[in-house]
Amino acid sequence: MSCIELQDLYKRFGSVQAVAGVSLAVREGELLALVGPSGCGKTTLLRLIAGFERPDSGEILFGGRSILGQEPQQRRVGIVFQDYALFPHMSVRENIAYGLKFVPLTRRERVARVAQLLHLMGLSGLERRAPEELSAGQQQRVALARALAPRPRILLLDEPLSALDAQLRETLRLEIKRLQGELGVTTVHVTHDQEEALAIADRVAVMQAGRLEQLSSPQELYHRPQTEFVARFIGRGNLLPGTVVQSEPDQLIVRLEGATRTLVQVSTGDATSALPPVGAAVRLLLRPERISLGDDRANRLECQVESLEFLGEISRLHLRCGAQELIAQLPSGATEHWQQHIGRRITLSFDPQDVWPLPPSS
Amino acid sequence: MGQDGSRQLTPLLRRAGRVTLIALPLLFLGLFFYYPLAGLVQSGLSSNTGFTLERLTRIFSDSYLRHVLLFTVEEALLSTLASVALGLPLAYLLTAYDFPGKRWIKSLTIVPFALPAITVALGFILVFGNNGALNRGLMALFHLSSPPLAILYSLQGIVLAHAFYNAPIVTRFVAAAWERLSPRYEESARALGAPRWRVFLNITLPMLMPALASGAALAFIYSFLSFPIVLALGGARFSTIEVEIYRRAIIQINYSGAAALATLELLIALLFTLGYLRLAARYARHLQLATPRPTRSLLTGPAGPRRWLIYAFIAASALLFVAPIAAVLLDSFSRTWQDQTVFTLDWYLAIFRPTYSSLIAASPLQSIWNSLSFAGASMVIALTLGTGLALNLTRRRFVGRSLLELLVMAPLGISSVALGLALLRTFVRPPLALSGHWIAIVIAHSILAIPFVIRAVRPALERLAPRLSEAAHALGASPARTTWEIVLPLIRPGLLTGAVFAFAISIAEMSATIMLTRPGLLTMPVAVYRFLATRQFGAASAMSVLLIAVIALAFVLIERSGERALRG
Ligand SMILES: Nc1ncnc2c1ncn2[C@@H]1O[C@H](COP(=O)(O)OP(=O)(O)OP(=O)(O)O)[C@@H](O)[C@H]1O
Ligand SMILES: [Mg+2]
Repeated sequence: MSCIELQDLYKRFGSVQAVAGVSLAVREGELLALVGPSGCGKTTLLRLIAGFERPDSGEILFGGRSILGQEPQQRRVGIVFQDYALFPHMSVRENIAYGLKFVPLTRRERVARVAQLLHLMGLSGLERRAPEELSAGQQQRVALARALAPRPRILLLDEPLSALDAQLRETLRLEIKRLQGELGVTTVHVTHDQEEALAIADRVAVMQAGRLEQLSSPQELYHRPQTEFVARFIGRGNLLPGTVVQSEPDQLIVRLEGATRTLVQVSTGDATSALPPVGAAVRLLLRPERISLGDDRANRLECQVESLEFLGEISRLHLRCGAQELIAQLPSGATEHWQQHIGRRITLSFDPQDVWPLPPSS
Repeated sequence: MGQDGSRQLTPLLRRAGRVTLIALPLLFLGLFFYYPLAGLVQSGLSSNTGFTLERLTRIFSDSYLRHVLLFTVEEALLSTLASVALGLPLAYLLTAYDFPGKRWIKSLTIVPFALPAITVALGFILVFGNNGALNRGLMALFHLSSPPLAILYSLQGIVLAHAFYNAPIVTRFVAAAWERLSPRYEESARALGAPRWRVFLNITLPMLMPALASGAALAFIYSFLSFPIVLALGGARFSTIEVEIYRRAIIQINYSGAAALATLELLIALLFTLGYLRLAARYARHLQLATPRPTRSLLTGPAGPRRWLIYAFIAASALLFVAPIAAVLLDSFSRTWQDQTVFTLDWYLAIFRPTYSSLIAASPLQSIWNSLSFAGASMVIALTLGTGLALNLTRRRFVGRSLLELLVMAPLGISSVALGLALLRTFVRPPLALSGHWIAIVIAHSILAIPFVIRAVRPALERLAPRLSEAAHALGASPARTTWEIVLPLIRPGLLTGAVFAFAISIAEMSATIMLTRPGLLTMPVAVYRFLATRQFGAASAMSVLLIAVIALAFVLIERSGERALRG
């Protein structure tokens, strides 16, 4: 059952079309990540849901009912901004308790709710502190606790981790995931960081220029992107241009540059739309970690090793097949070995299941 | 040998130049500010037998003076309240709404500050007086036989005029903070379920409090020390400490009684000023990075009761702010004769007459000439001394710099009447027997203007990269030449601003002047007061318009040069 539904939303600021026809449904209890490049309209979408902006057209439904007539304070959304906006003149406890003033609770219930949240967020002992006396991570937890206290119907997080350093970001994103799972609160989490989105979200929505490009599970998004934009935005990928020479319900044969024939196999369950017809120009997405640096797989390519990039956990091999540049991923244990291959020609190979045909960009 | 001699001489000369730059202003302030004030306080705190608090305690046991004291506090508190009540909604309008001319209105909020208080008092009499435009209009409208509003010569009149002055101050402080307040705080509160009014009370207001408190404290100090407005609008019944000091010293020639009151007032003002400085420091600490705030259009959109309330508020403030100035202008060009109002230039002809007028005990033309020459002389003195101090305050770090800063900025927090009294007492006897000399008035004006010159010149100096003068040194220029050829031309906009401020302060000054003036030394504001006191409103208006025009011209000059500095 869907908790929140956006139907064909439009919002323009002056000459900027910030949101251009977005429709999506957030399911009850899910964590939906919203990613996209800067300025693509993520924040605007959240602000439309929260009621700080009014859409030019379109509809927003909470539990099947329109909320466009409601003021932000009536919508029961919890929101956490990038800079947290903790009230600086209130203590941690007062911050968390603020939203409870506006729900019908007895004094005792309020105290209990605040204590519960302090405990849940690991903030016990800090309740008297002023926000400026907290570390960035603690501030973030207080902001979350404050937003969650009145039991919102939906939690909106606008890049709550982007102000933190990389290590803290990884700890806190797992914490958000755990908390969200425990409380079962429907959440929309906006982030710049596609890795963060893949790591914690049940589903990921990718936006570009005010439009929704794709909404699917992290795996689906990574392995079977619907557009070239999504393929490039999520993870690293090699996009190989070619022409379809044979098309069947669950497999294609594509002619790539520098390779006679390449077999592409798509299990029918995956095929969300019909495969391209014979003669169509396609791009094949091949993820670096799916490349085998040997001729042991069904599809083969001849390449030249250009350079090697050592990144710690893994290494990357930069390859060239004719005009096409490719990246292949190596376990870092193999780095020394491949160092010696720089400048040499090698054969790489990949399985038919590990390539994904994208329609050519228009 | 000769070379060695010159090598030793140059640093010596440098040191001498540096010492003069700071010693001269300090000597000036010492002789004409601290020495007279010390004399004043000493006479307030001593009797024939030595140190005593008796004179001060006697103030509290005198029931009339007790009444004056209480009235001063009451008047200042109510004026502060009125300034906040008017200034806060104005700040809200300026931050939350968009309307044509908003930038204009914003920059116009400094206008009251630049207007001579006596001309504002005149405007209030012309609009709100028993025979003023408002009462006449209401009488005509409702066929009344007597004026329905008794605003003037009452507490309300004084409070209203002080609000005219101080509400814009509150607005400036609060609007500056409000524009910087991130809207995320208020949005967070709304998402948490708070209705608009709760958001304002729980979030917005507390976060604006440092700014509001600073503005209110300033409004209180200004209202507490206000002299021309109370003198002109208080009538015989209402007197504040300032007016009482003036009455005692000038009308009753009771210097020691006046000195005791002035001492008490200095102590109170000192306390408030210290309080204000603390608030202002807190305010500065709370200023945030500017975040763009959403604004609504005032003219378009649905017209609900909220919008009508706003329009009504704007109309009322326009009446308060525009009507007095407009009334002065109109009155200066018109004469009413048997219910007929006709255009006339008579008042202007009258004020340019070089002959003696018994009404003001001087010739009006003489007062114009005096004002211009006093302002010119004060400008030169304040600019020279203030720039010397500013150079020292910015360019060098030394022990006691903050003490020096406090010492030279202190005239900002002083009551001008008390300063006038202190100078008057000092000048009547040797070693500084300057009483009755024009230089006495110029000295008073210079002292009041020096802090403003420092404030204007300092930012320009601070912006000036120290590297620039270092480079000039490296090229072989002496410090004196560097200052003269490099630094001063580069800070010219700051100097010009300082000069205009000094000029405007001098020409608008009435409180210290009225204590020191003599027949023949009359200035324009004092002439306005005398015309007003003798109910020559036409002449008072014409003189006021001239005074305002001169000040406006000076400020236009700043504006222009500021633009040129930005473009250049
Ligand atoms: N209040 C506003 N007035 C004018 N333009 C706005 C306003 N809010 C957003 N925009 C514009 O709308 C577009 C979308 O902005 P939005 O803040 O939604 O992007 P975003 O995806 O959140 O970007 P980021 O990742 O940088 O936060 C941008 O071009 C932005 O400049
Ligand atoms: Mg954003």
